Amino acid sequence: MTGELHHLTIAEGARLIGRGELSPVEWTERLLERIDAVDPLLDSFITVTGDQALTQARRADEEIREGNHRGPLHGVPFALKDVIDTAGIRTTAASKICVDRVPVRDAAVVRRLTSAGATLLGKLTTHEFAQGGPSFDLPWPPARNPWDRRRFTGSTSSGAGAAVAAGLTPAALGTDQGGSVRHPAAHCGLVGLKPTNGLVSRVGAIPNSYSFDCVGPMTWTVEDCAIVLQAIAGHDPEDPGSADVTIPDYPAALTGDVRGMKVGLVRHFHDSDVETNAEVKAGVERAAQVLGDLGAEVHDVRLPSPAEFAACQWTITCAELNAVHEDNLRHRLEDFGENTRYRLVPGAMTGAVDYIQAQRLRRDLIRRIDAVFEDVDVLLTATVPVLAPLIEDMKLSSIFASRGGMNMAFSVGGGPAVSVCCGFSEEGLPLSLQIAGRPFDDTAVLKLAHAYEQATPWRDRRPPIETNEQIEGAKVSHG
Amino acid sequence: MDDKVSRSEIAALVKWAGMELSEAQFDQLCEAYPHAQRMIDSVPRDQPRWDELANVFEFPPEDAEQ
Repeated sequence: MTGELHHLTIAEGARLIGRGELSPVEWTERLLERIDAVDPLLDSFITVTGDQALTQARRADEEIREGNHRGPLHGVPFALKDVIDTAGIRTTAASKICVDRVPVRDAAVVRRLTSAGATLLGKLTTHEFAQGGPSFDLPWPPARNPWDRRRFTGSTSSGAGAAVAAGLTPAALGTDQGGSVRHPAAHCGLVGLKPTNGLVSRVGAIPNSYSFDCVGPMTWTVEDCAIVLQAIAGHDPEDPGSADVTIPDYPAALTGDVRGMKVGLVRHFHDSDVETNAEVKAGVERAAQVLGDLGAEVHDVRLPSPAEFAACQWTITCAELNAVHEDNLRHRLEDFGENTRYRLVPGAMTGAVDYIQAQRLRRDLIRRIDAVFEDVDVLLTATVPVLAPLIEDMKLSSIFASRGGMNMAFSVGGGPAVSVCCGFSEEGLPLSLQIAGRPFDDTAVLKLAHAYEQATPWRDRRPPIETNEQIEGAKVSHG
Repeated sequence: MDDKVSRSEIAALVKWAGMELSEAQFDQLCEAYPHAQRMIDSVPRDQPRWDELANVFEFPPEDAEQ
């Protein structure tokens, strides 16, 4: 296999492996070569685990040849946001504070993926401790958006967004407490799922916000997202927030038939509540039309405003972040990057009553979302109201903008929300659609997202990162 | 900086939080704090007193029965 091997999806690769037409070693080697050639342009990886990946791939090869095929992730490469612990491999949170931190134990999600036979390519950059925005004063530079390397990848699973879009890995795990899987998925044009809170274990993921933290898959297609979710979902008694619920067959639900599904279009988010780019608005409206043409019943619904969700999410997160980082804020403040300090330090002033009032507001907001879900199966919004901005145009204070409330609505609500690409702007930047569902109805959001994806051509277009000139230039600059 | 909170009041908050800031860090906090305060101030304080915290999720009935 040559050519577009780096753009194989999990499902495609698994089929080829199953038929003996592709070996896990061949796939892994090709991706490691591509990381070597392309990542100097993107800075998406903090650590590449090439030797370990090849060892795992050889083991997968042997097992599959011996007839012990574990399933659709056997021999499939993946990468992890560097806040997810890996035994014997440094896990840094992109912070000077954790620069030499080497966990002794894999995170629960890593154990699940490696049990399924997947092959770890490495650890992906993030905004420091999954907070803030792109920073140039951390031990590693910020990831670049493969669609335009001058632009922001989205916060905060930034390396994951860049690496999946650029074909450096077919899958990554990110973490999401206010949009940190969905936001980079949106700006990088891929699929990113924040699962229902409690569906996927957080054990071994560096905490950020106890109330909202989720681990979620980032992939090129919805089918791949469902395959990864299938492997990582499930009760974990070590995680006090883990739910003991029956796990459905997510890939089997992707039938393409969404006739009669009730879809609530939260039009007021992009029409009046949040200043929204015209191309983003048009993308969401076209997507609603496509879903209607597929037989879904689309009608307008109203949620509380994104500003309410943002205030609730922000206040809770700031207080919880302070609890996570209190010792380092008091004793190693200089070791945080400026962007992180800009958020953490004012957050440390959050009072107990502020936190409690925000938690009370959360219950009220959940109640109001639940009321809307009495009449619809899923909700539709833009994922982000803007196109990926230029990194040089981003201000520190942008982290306080309430426009993130489109994502935060479903972090506060706790249900599943997936971001999928819904087209491209005139200048070739991805547009995105967010589909949200009732808690533990992750199947519904994946089913609708998959039907939409199948009905549209957006998966055929990849970032223009791979001209020979760029790749050769990158090779030269890295010796 | 928003004049709602003075530098001396922010200094008191820093002390309460147990942090020591350099002058540059303190200046930056004074710039950032009004943004944070606006967020916190927009959390309503007029909720009925019996409204409890959102500490747990209510499971869908079909899951609760399993």
